[in-house]
Amino acid sequence: MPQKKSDTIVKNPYRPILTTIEKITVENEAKDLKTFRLVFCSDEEANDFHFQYGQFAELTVFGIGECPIGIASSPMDREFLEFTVKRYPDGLVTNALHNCSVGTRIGVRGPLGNCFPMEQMTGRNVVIVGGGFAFTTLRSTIRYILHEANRAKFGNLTLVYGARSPGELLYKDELKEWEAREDIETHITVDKGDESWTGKEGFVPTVLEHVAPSPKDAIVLVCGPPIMLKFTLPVLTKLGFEPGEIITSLEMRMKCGIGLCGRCNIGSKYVCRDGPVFTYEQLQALPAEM
Amino acid sequence: MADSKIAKNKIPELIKAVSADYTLYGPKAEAGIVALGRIHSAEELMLDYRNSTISAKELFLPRAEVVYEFDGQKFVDDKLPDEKRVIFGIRPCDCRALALLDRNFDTDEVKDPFYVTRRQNTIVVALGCNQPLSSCFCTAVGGGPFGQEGADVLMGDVGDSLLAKAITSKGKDFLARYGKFFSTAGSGSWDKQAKEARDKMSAAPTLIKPAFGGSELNIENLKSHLDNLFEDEIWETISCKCLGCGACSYLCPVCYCFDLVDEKTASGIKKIRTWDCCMFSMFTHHASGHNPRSANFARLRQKIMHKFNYYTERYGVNGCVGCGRCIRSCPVNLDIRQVLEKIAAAPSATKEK
Amino acid sequence: MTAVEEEIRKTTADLLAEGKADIVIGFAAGSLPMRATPCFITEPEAAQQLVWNSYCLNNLAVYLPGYFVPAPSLKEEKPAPKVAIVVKGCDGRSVVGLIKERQILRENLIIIAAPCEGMLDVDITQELVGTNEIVCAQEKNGEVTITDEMGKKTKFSRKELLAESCRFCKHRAAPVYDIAVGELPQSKDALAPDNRFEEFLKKSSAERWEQFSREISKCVLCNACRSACPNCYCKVCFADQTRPNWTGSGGELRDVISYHLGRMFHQAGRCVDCGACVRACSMGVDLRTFTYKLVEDAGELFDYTAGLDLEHVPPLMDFNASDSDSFITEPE
Repeated sequence: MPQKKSDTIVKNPYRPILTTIEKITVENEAKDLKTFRLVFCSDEEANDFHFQYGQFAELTVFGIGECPIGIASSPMDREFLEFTVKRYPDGLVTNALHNCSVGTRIGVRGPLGNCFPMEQMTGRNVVIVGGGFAFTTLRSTIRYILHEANRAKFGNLTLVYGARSPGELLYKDELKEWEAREDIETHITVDKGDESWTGKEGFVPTVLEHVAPSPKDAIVLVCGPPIMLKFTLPVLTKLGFEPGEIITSLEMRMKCGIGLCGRCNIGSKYVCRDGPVFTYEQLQALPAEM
Repeated sequence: MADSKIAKNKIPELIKAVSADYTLYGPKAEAGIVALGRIHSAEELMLDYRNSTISAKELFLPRAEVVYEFDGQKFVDDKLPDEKRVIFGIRPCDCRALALLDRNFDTDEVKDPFYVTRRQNTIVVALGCNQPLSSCFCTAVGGGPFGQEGADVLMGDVGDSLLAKAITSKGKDFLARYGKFFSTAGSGSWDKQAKEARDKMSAAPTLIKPAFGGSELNIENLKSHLDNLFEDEIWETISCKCLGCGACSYLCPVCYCFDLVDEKTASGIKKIRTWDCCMFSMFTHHASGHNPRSANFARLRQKIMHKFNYYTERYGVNGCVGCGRCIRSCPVNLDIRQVLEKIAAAPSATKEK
Repeated sequence: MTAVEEEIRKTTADLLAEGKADIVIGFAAGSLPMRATPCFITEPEAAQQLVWNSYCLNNLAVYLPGYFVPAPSLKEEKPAPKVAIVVKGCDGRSVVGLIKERQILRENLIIIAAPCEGMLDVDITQELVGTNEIVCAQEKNGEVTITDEMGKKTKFSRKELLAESCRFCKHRAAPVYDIAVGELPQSKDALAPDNRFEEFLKKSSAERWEQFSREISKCVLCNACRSACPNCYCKVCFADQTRPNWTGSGGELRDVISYHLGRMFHQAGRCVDCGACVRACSMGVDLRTFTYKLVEDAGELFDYTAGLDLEHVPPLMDFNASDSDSFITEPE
């Protein structure tokens, strides 16, 4: 079970921890994806914050509201937390967040939710399939696995990641680093390249089928927009992955983030508490309501 | 434990004594409705009523409450609601609702400190029902006119006096503390009163009985019916007349879905928890514009499923106490009993998934 | 069963059988005493469910925009259906208003006008009866005999039990219709006097504000008033918008007031005074005193009454050089 802060009677679960924005990185050409690096205002709270890859936090822009965002930094990064946030045209909080500058106080409530199945992944080959900006918690996972203290615990690591165009790829510097490494097999693709793009061109499901990772002793984490998932899941099934070995992370409108307010449910499961990570097998048992 | 009773003409003295030690709440006439409000004197208290418009939920989960304040630099100290209260004279259905709400707000994994503190600091003195309304169906959902769940003390009106029985140790202490107003009652009179009330409920025509073949809803049956009905067209038929107004959820003693909003003040910001309703069209509206429940029938389905399927799955009990407020308050007379009847009769309910 | 009821059932069955309508909206018997409930008939045989009695209080026009404005749904988009609707005077006027505001396709609508001499309100009746629950009501010659759960019978004149908006309704017949059932009322006289509104008119500005604030403070923002009103068909109500955030939802009185002021003024010249908002209100807020003031103002300032014909343009959709601007030239 992911370690959470103790929920004794005196702790107020609605109250966030204070952080400040230390750095803002514009991730894409359209400039609507930014990575915010947050540092805790209190050392004690920084030390107490432990999370697993796949978890999320509710970010508070004071006076505006909260939004649930997956944690993009690795659990091994103790100095800061990173969140990559997309600005939606109608989004109240995402717009306010994108208008914030370095030094702004941001509230963090978390870590929330369950995580990618660490136990199931240890000792096995890990295949990571990501599309668009759903890549954030996958990035946290990769960073964790690649850390020298952890790498030996996992088998082969295969990554297939794609975006609409080269400018829309996230974490470009990191992608280059990973491509140069021996301990991760990287396949970066774009739907449509530009003049300077020398890499693969093609939709993620197509590239995945071509890469054809073996399902033997493997587990696959897949996150992406609904259209990508629609075509990727059949490919994974065709490759021989069992529904219990295909792991994904869901999104839902959330408020409390702790399973109390009754908003983010699919069937009897709360995406904020029983999820956001679900196996494909678990998803099939849930009502078709997404 | 011997049952007690208090003569009705002694109630004003009891109220005065209790008011000196606790903040007292109870049913009172207020602007044309029966409200559960502050009782300052015995004259205000109205025990001769059917049921309050707003349920006791409001006293534990207020319509709007501040969950934290931030002045720009630091948080203002959390003030938990530490008022010591007695709620006097609410109905067993509302008490049972509190026990159902406890399952959500007071768990081992996570507790809502505001709700839990209020529960700890409140003594609930319930008043059993001698006469059901035509919209009451508490016995069909596991409750009863003299149900004890959620109450610390349960009283029964026998004409010239009220019988009183301690249900919890909190209730026992309460009766001991104000013992001088009570006298012993014969144990027979309690059982007689409770049986009479229950018999009335059994005799009352309620729509659910024939549908579920008995006087009580078979929770497991209902849940498994609903398991198979998610994709069914029945929801579109049922929800035709529903306006999505939310009056049912707001008055329901168990409905608890809430929203968290920020409000700016001159000195900082307040985070406020307010009532919300799954029937509102924006309830599941994502910032991206996507809404998994954009159609009215999907929202009504969620409401019924939450109460009679998902809650049962998570907590082993359904989320309805049969108080009938939703039936009375619905502007279009959408009767939840008729909905459950239709669900029981739905043909695909018997199909294998 | 009355002759009118029989005619409504026959008309419905015929329309459906002949394929002239896909769905007929009317009333069926309610599950509680003195209630009727909206009913949607799609098969000729089901027309037997329809009733026409003194409890057909709801404004059915509220359902119409949903049939003609495509809503995102799980099923594929279908062509607009042919809808027939049974209306009284108030909902008939709502229908006219919605046609003028282009929320309904006139050519896809069949308006069935039914006679109305005012509907009875169960809450008003229950208040007069007392704590014992009403079990049944019987009407004869302008008198209503109420039997309570103890078997006690009380007689009332019909007038005493009328819904508030019905008491002073002057337009009891639908102004525009395709089929008329029974004898449509011709009289434009109110059925009973409107004392409460007269009291309000006598008050000063400060007193009116006090009454308004006091009433509105009972509101719990359940939005039932908005959901029941046929004129509130906006996809996203101004009160729910977050960008910009016009009114807060934290329950502060100023936000409750601004929501109601906004909603009421959006109704100016559109409200038909059907009373659906008041009856839907879960807390018994007296909205009608204020909404009716706007109905009167629209009449005085713009010589306009909502929903009487398809020709006149509602004041909020029009501008006229002769419109009163005394609020600028002679502010109070």
